[in-house]
Amino acid sequence: MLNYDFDWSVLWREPYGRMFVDGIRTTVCLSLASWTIAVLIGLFIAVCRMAPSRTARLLGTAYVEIFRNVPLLVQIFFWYFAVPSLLPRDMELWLYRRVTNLAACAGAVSLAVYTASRVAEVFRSGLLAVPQGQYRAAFSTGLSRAAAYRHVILPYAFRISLPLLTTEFLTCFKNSALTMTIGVMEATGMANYIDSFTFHGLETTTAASFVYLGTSAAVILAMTCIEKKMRIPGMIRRKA
Amino acid sequence: MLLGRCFRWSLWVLAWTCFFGMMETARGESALDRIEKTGRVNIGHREGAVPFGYIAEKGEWVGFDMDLGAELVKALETRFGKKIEYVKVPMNPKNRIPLVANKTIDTGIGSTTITLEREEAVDFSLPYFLTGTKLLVPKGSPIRSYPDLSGKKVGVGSGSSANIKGLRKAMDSGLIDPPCEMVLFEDHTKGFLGLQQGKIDAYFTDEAMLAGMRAKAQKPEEWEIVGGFLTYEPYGFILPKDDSKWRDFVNATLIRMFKDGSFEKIYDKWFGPGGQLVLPMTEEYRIMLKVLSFPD
Amino acid sequence: MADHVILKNLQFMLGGLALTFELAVIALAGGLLWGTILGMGRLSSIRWIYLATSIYVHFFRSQPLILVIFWFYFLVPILVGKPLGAFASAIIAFVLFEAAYFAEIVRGGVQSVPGGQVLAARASGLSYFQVQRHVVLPQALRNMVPALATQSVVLFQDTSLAYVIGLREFLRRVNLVDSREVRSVELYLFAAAVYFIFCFGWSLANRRLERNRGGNSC
Repeated sequence: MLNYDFDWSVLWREPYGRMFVDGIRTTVCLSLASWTIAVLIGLFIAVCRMAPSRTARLLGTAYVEIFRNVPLLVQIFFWYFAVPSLLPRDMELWLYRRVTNLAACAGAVSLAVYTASRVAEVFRSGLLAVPQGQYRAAFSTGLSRAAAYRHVILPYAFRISLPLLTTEFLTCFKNSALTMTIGVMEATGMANYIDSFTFHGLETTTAASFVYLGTSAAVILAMTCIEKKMRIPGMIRRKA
Repeated sequence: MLLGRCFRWSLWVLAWTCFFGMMETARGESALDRIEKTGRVNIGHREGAVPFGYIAEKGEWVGFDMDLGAELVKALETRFGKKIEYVKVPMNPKNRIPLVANKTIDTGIGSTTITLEREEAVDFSLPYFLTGTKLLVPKGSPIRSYPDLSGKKVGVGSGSSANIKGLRKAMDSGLIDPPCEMVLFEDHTKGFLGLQQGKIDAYFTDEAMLAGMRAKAQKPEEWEIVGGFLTYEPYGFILPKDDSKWRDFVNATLIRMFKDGSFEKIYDKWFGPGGQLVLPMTEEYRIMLKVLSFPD
Repeated sequence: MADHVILKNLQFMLGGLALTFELAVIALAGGLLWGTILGMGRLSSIRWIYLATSIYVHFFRSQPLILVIFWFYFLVPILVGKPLGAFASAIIAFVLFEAAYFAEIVRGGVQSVPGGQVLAARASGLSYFQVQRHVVLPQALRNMVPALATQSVVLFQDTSLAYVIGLREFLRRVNLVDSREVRSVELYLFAAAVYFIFCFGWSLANRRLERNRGGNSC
């Protein structure tokens, strides 16, 4: 009845098996790299938005609003096609000549910058949820602003934000698939690429779907355990 | 309980819709019959392949392939004696085979090389175009031929599996040694964009495509096509697998066009003097067309 | 010069916005409808309904949208033996995908209504249906508005993914122009600005609405 010959061996047959594993590895590396950068930028922006300085608050808000309100795909195209030509010509040529995987780098940067705007919001709500008493207590013990944030407020906010951070990480993981539009061969792109040689897209795409499903499930399971440990006593638990 | 009931109802409706949707699908129906029944034919064309199919200045979609499509529609109208709607569907090197295989389009006319590998998933019409692969480089580039590519970045269309295989074979056979870095692009126009920005040192694909990319450049004289044919690339219409009724009709239309000169007229419109790009028919191409001009 | 390349192609590019909005509106309506049903299913006390909807929601939330679009454009037609076409497959993918997110919003909204409200309403003699209609849903809806507004901005941005299957919406047209003109900086900044205006304007409007209604005060 089905006019299609399934051939699952494309998933492990050489050279496609290795290509697919490469694709999964690219997805993982890409999302981990952008996630790390995103958390750092996001943290910085969130603190900016809570700062007493008006300029810092304004810049923080502008960052979040701009990067959150432009589709990721547009940002990816912008970083890949437009940004290099904004650089001085020498630097642009250096980028093109020396950097292998320019597309992956552009993809990682755009993903990081975009994710950072969302992470910043998560951290900010985390910071807002830290009870006022904690701030006052920290300052009254004579800690400087930086020290108070470093030792009291941020760890507290981080623990509150943990569940939402998990969600954001998974969003980042899934969004990495968009980099296939600029030729990055991550899992989705690779599923497509193998299809153009073997015409067995159904198998490769199914496998890609399971990769995303499996990763999400694994991350959620692991994080649920960690969240349980990191939970702040007395705070309401997240409903599963 | 109300929520549950609502939910159960909607599930039922969904299930039945799916079921009937599947039932309605007629299996083994020829595309030709479907075209007659629906009065419309879906033809896939390229958006970024000058002059085969591309978006012109005002945003209109034109090209050599589209003129061939129009001829095919005309033949369909004569056959069925009624108006047939010509639905143009965008396709790119990456999705063209799946789109025909899943019947989104009845045929794909878009500078597609006939390969044995693709024959496993779809069928092809007789070849209607013959070209070969070459390199596009900036004028004065040190790259003159394939061996010069070693260690350089070379752009290729990510769905142009014939091109990718050709280049890889050249690397494996030691023609390009040490190998070059292959940079993949979604479409040839994106590749040319990369070449113009300096992201890659050369772009590798069929000469007819390269000539089109060059012709559409802001300063065509800054680019040149180098190297000999690495491979021959005969183009055919992509057709659904095992639909000989439809394939015979398409082939008959092509043969008629080869014989009555209308094919050459369209060729001259795009590739002749004064066309979008000048690419005289090679001797091999002429012979191919002559061989394919089967008697009635 | 910069405005030249944009002005020259303005009509062509903005022409794509019509399709972008069409996609967004249909996806929003369909996604909300299907999402509400799923959300109700997630609250159901009937075990298999709860399980089925939970699996659905978790599955779709684990998938990248681009992959879902590929499924419906390339693969489902092979399985079903019937082509869907670019527009239909994009719509189906959007609706099925976004519904998983709307479902969670709806579920959260309904759960945010204190149980005492239902008990009080029931005690005053209202039927189950009346309780839902007059007590639970209005309050749930009100609690859901901020989340719905955020999600609709995400959805509007998501329509740009229709680009990958060749639908000539706004972003695809910008891309096509760029391939011809090689003016990436101006063109993508322009695209970003257009999306920004719509998304930011929409969220501003919602925030104001929220404030006027005296919703969350923080």
